[in-house]
Amino acid sequence: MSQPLQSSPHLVSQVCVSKTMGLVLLACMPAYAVSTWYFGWGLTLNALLCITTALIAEGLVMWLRGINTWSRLRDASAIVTALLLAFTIPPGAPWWIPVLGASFAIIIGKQVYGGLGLNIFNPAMVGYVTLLVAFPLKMTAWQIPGVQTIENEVINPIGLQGFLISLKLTFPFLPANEIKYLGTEIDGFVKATPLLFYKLPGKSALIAAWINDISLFARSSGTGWEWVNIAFLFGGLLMLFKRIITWHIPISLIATVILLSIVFYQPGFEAVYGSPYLHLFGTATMIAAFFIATDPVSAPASSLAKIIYGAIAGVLIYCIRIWGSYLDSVAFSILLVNALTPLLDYYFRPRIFGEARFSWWRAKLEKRSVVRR
Amino acid sequence: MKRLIRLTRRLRGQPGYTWPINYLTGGITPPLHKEPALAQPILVAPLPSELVLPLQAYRGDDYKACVTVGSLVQKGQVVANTEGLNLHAPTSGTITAIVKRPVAHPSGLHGLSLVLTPDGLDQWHQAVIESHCDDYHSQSPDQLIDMIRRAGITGLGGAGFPVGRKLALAQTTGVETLIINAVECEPYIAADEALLQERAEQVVIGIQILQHILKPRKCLVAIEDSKPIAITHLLDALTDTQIEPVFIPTRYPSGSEKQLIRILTGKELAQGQLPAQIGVHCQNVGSAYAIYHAIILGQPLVSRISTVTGSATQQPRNVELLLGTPASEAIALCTDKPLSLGDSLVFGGPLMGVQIHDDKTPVMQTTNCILASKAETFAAEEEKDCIRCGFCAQACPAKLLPQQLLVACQTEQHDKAEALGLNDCIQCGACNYVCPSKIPLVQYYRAEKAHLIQRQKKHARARYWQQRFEFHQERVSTEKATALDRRSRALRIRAKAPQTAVTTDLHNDVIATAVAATDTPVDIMSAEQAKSDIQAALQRAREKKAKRQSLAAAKPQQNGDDQ
Repeated sequence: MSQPLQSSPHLVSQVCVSKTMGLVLLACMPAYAVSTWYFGWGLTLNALLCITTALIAEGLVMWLRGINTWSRLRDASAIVTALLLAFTIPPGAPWWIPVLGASFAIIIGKQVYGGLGLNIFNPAMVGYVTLLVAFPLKMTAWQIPGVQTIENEVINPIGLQGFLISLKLTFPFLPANEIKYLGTEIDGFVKATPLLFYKLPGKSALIAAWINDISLFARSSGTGWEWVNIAFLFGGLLMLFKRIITWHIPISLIATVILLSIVFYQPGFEAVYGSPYLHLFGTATMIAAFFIATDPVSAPASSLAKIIYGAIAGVLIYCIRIWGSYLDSVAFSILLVNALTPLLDYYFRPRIFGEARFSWWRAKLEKRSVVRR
Repeated sequence: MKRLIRLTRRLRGQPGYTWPINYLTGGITPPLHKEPALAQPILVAPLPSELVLPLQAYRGDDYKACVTVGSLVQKGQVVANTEGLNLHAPTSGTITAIVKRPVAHPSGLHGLSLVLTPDGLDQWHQAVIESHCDDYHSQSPDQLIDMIRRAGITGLGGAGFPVGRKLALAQTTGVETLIINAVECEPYIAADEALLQERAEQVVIGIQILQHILKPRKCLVAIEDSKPIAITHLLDALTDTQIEPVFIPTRYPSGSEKQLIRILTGKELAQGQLPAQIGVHCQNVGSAYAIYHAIILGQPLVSRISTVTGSATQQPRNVELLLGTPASEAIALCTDKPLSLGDSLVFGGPLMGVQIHDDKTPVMQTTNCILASKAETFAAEEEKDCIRCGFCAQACPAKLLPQQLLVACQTEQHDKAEALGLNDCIQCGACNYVCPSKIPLVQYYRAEKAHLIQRQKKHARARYWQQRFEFHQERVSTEKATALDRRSRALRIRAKAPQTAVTTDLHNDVIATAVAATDTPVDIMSAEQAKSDIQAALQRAREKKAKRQSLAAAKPQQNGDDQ
């Protein structure tokens, strides 16, 4: 009867990091499926490249640091980072874009700070911003295997032809024989994010398609972005339901964006400020609110701090989107609020059980006045 | 949804739901595993082959044995005592040894214990047979408290605070709400539940005695709503009494004193504040049952109901064990196979219990559960990096930020740990339970708390010596000042006296003044004066000596406090 010494508690739950990360990956799946349906295999290729690079980079750093590599790779945090990064990279980007982004995200964005749990900035966003700043053109062109080709031939983006085109776009050095059948070399089709179009819709393409009796899932209906965002919302709600994330950050972020877009909304001037609907479902707001901003490592800990964090992120997202020169603003605003996290954590500590209300703040103020005197 | 059901029940005025409650902040809902032990009635354990009575009372207080090796004792006879708290022989027999034996302490250190070999007669002591009181109403509260104190009752819930002392303290401050704690929120433990299922009437009489002693305005019995059978028995027993049952949601750690007070009264105890200070008094149901025995039957605390359970037992059940029964004999009642190598043995629940190193460790007053588990049940997993997921902050009932505390503890930032409220941590283990990275958070906090206590002691000692030093310096400076004063007076005298020699040297000057100071009075003094002066000096010396002696007597005590 000799057992290893252990202090209480002896009972622990079945929750573990790998399972948590697995659930996050699962929550990404609806959006992944929808994206693939509308934009073809480009996302899959990006994701595969990102995940492989991220795992290799993580394993390499672990090996260099002399840490048990397998146990750390198994927690799947690198996969989550890589997948989120892959969502932000346009399909059809050449292979070195995801590889560079993922390795930068893992090595510079995460491991340089000391690894999982110690990074100040969201690694996926660090990777994305690096790519965006370094290769702005490549990062804003959404090249989708064409819905409509030159010869009025319709190519299914998730069919074999679409896959081959995506493959060719990702790996430009591959022999192009397979897709020669079109008669011309395909350079990809540039399809912009809805933000470029917001002069035109201002309203939901989804509702328009519904009213006009167009199939909601038809690729020509222009409902792709809205479906992707709804899928992210669904995945986010799944994570909320599974209690992986709390409601504070998503709700405050979305509420802020809605509030600002309503305040600045001028019917007829959607071209300048966009409609609230566009801000929610035509942009990256949903993935930001549920998947990026809620990254626990770079977000504050207490409830009040989380609400403030979400609100600041929402304000930044709106401001940079409207008055900034980049197309979308999620990555920059998330990185900026990430930098605020330690400050928020310090000043918005929850009230400890039995402590008088605001006693911590009062103590701080008293101390300051003492110093002044 | 559950809250809605509670609300409708409350509006309908269902018993147990009428008292408004505050919900526990944080907390966890682990699997309870209580049914197996409740499947069978309480088993009254047969006499063990030997009983071990550790001489450690509450918080480092030690009992002083009042028997010697070879003494014949009878059941209920006082064998050791400390400050009005008695330890009784759980059965009749012979004291065969007073030696160091393993005790239920996390350090694993052995403690001085009385070893009692039963004679098999289980003969009650004469004093016990005589000292019962049928009508407690006729007794004054002070008398009853004295009886409880003499019966050696300590809290049977967790901390083991002497009940008599707690009652006396509460009596001085006055009690508004008396809370009887039957929550028992920790998994596996079902001792109080079994007690209420089978002996609710006695428990209620015990509560009524407490009411008589404390005269509270309200008396509540809190029990988790996941215990239907215990609840029906409790409700039956509570008819026609001034005691209100309150069914609280099943959530760990609702049974912790601070948390329970908040749930029932909405008041939060600040750090270091006692329930008595806000007019609340908490007692465990087991303690109420022991009080019933002490007052009505006159029997001291010699046994307790304990849940013997865990994956290493075949038939978990609640057993009424004599205090001092070795754990191995208690486990033997519930399984045929002895514990094998690697099995873990825990006194208390799986979340706050103390791991036991030796299966001969005796059952104590606070042992509400003996948890014998197979090695794989509670196997420790590899500790990984914190991902700041915040599950711990959501689970923390004290509303702390465990992930930030962890960083403060790991990096030894003691001030930061203190500022983040480490001392408010109740070590319930909820954060540890939910942690996906399997970080032993509570262990870190315990180590840091120990460090803080050590630091505090160090500071106290430093302050003490600083005071001593300052006192010393002050004394030296006053002495110097008086010396200067004397010198200047002497100079003045010399100035008045006819000049004999001109001295420029300071040294000579001092000698001269000294000579002057000694010379002048002798010349003037008469014989009687000299005599009386000598008498006075002697008197002063005597006084000084007495003072020094009294200081020397006080000093070791001070040192003792310091450590």
